[in-house]
Amino acid sequence: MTDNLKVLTKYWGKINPLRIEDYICVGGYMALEKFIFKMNPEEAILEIKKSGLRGRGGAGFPTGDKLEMVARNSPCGVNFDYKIIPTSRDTPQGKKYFICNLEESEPGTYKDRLIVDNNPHLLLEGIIISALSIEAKKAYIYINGNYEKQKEILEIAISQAKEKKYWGENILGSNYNLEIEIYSGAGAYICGEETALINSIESNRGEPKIRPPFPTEAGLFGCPTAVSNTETISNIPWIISNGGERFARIGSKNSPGTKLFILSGAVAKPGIYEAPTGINVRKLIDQYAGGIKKGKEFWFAQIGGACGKLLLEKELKAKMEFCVGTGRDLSVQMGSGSILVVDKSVNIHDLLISWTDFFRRESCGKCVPCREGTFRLWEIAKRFRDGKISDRDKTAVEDILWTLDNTTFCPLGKFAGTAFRDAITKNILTF
Amino acid sequence: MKQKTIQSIILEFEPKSENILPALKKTNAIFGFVGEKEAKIIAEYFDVSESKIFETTSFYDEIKTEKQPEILIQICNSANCTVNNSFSIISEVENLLKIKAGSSASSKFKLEEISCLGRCADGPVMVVNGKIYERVTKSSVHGILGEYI
Amino acid sequence: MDIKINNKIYEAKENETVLDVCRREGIRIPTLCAFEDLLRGAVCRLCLVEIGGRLTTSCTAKVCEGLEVITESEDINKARRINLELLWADHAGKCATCKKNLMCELQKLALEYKIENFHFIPRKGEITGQEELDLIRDNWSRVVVENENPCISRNSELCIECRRCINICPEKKFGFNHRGSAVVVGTPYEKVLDCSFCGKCIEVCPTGALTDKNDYVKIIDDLDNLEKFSVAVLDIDIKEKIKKQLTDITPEKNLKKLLTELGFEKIVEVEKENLEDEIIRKIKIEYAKHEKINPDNIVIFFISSKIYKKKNLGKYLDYVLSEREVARLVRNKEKIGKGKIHPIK
Repeated sequence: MTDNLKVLTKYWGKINPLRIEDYICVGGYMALEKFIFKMNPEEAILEIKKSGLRGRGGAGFPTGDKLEMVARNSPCGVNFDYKIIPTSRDTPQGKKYFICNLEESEPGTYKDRLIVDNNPHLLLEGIIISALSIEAKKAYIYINGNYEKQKEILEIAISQAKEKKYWGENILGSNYNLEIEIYSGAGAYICGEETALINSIESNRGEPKIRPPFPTEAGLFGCPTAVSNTETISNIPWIISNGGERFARIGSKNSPGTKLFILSGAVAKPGIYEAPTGINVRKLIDQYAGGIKKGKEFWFAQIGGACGKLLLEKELKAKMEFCVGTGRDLSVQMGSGSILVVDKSVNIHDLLISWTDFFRRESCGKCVPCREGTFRLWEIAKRFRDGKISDRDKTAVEDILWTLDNTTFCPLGKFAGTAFRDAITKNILTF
Repeated sequence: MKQKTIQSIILEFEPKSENILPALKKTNAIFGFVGEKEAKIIAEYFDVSESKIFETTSFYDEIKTEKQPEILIQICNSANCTVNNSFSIISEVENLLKIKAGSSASSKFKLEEISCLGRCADGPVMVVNGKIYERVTKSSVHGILGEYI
Repeated sequence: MDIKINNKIYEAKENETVLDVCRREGIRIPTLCAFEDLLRGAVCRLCLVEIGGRLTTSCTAKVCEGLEVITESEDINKARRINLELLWADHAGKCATCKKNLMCELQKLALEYKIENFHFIPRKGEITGQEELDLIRDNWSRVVVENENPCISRNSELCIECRRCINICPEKKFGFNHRGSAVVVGTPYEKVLDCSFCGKCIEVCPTGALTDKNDYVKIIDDLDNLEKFSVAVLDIDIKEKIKKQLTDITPEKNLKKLLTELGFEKIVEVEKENLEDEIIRKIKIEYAKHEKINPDNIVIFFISSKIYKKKNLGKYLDYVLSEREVARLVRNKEKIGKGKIHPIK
């Protein structure tokens, strides 16, 4: 496989995103046709499983497994042991849902926005296939409240696709039916977490829910639900068209495919680049983003957004993967795929305040360690800036980072201290 | 144009629980915030408690629970904008308008630090009354604020 | 089914949580959010236990055949200590003057886990005046104190955001408002609480954030005033409730004796449901006439869980005291020893 293979960005800038005909011209919706006329849902899910596709939102959960869980789960009405608070008086029975996660509020990440800007129909085709494969009757696109322009683009794409009978009743004359609805978020980072997102569509506070039950068993309105990231879904048409095995041969073995990498900070050409997974960070910086910006000196890179790890110069050979620690080679959890290159002119204290302020503000406030811990970290970061750090603050930081890592309700809290911890252990920050 | 009433806004939505958030967003867009009176009417319409409406409303950044100052300035202080010096822009605005970020002391201005808007390639990002400004510099701040003052 | 807790085998029933089993078997697990059968939000992160080497909340962990649980270990202790300390740092810490003093669940746990220091907030001398002001401003920006309703004192400064009041309120008056470190549990738009005042929220509140509203200074003045004739009208089910509040202090004491010591001159028991209004009226009119006491000098205390009666004090009834308030008066008296009770003003 060459590095030039483009699954997601192949037609960016080449087709008019507002014209469905342009997309069809380059083979668009062929995967959907193949799915409808030549495959059954199980076969489609099998292909996705074979592809080894993992969730691109950050967690890297195998997409095929997730779809299969929902597909196999009988819709509502199953007896769950867990106390589920009925969120809707008219809980629709016998339903399953598919949700496209377009919340994308991970700092430094705007890949999903560009997918919609450049090729909305690719995403839409992926949504339709995924939703039909689990026999969902309704798909939601949960879009970031700030993405107004993208919402309009999607609305246009959706209405065009409906006219062509790619969704709606009796899709392409078959027995498949699907409803699609765009649901616009209202500004909360945590809503990118799938159970929080579900809470948000149910018009609750966007707080993560207790798991189990997992959304695949009891998700939206208590029904089995698959929530997938926008980029993940955009891979589905290619997998259906070209087969899972081919996809599995791209990039890293344990997390195959290509990935959108977002390079920013002190690089010569900041922007979004599609490259195979398993690529190392140095190559992305040097070969894709044109190296370090002139006059700047590399200090460290933050991988995967606000909760991402920090890499020093000597660690840049780390491969971008989803499963870390399985291979012989050094790899790094790529998260959302963002790489922020920080140069030596940056004030680390400002950055520390930035990280901690972010989590203090974006924590849902539900559990003690995250609500109180992120707040105290922010206070300590401010004392750092003012040179007023005491010995007790050192113990406090250790304690808070430990409790965030071990006792929070959801993964957001778990990773809220990653950057802070790395900054200390890697001597970027000195007490 | 006649001012829309809260009643006419909510009637656009079916009284199902999943429509609460869209109804709140719409109310906020038209009134600038969701006040106590509106929250009460929305709660009655959707047959939920007022506390549930306020819980939801106050959770999301986009929906406000109180009247906003005349000029709301928001500056992103997430990592990418920070690397591009957004903190110097925050202090520039603080000095210029003699306000503190996060403080509601002035009824005319409010400066808020906000999270990433996904425009990291064009940071630092500043939003004034909903209008987004990219690649803001310490010197361009003056011109931008000049449009509002 | 059988499960193993701390290497000992216990019987567990389908659908039970680890916390349920531990509580039944008397295995100590601290909790601040889980309360009896109330919805378990798993938010306080204190009931952590180790299952398969990982810290898990016992309030949500369902039992299954062969489950092995550890309830005390270095990590569990560390987790509980840090999370408690985080709560403690956000708590006001003015225990001596708090109405919930000695009955506060947070205070008890802080003692149990030896939380003595405020590790997370700087001390005086380490910060400049301006910073201290900023800190106080940060901490106070989210405090809501409300004493305008007739029955319940609310102070979010003491609130630990456990959500019990939200979950128990039959009228859904409370909400979990705002986000992140700005979270406040309270009424929408910080309105004055207006409800039927069933008092359930006070019963479940682990701290002094929700307490019975009363003017204790005036109460004690009235009880101490030799010119006043204080009558305690005991509601039908209140005796047991008071005793329950006092078990840790005076397990054996005779309630009548305790009340007499507090300064009540007469104790009347309500023997049938909802007869209190009539009894109170009779005391103020007929009893006063009969005993030749000026009715203005008769102070009637209705001792009951019906705190909503505080709404209609006036003509006949002077005070309503809940079981918690009586217990508090007794505790303060015990503390000070013999003689008149002098509240900390």
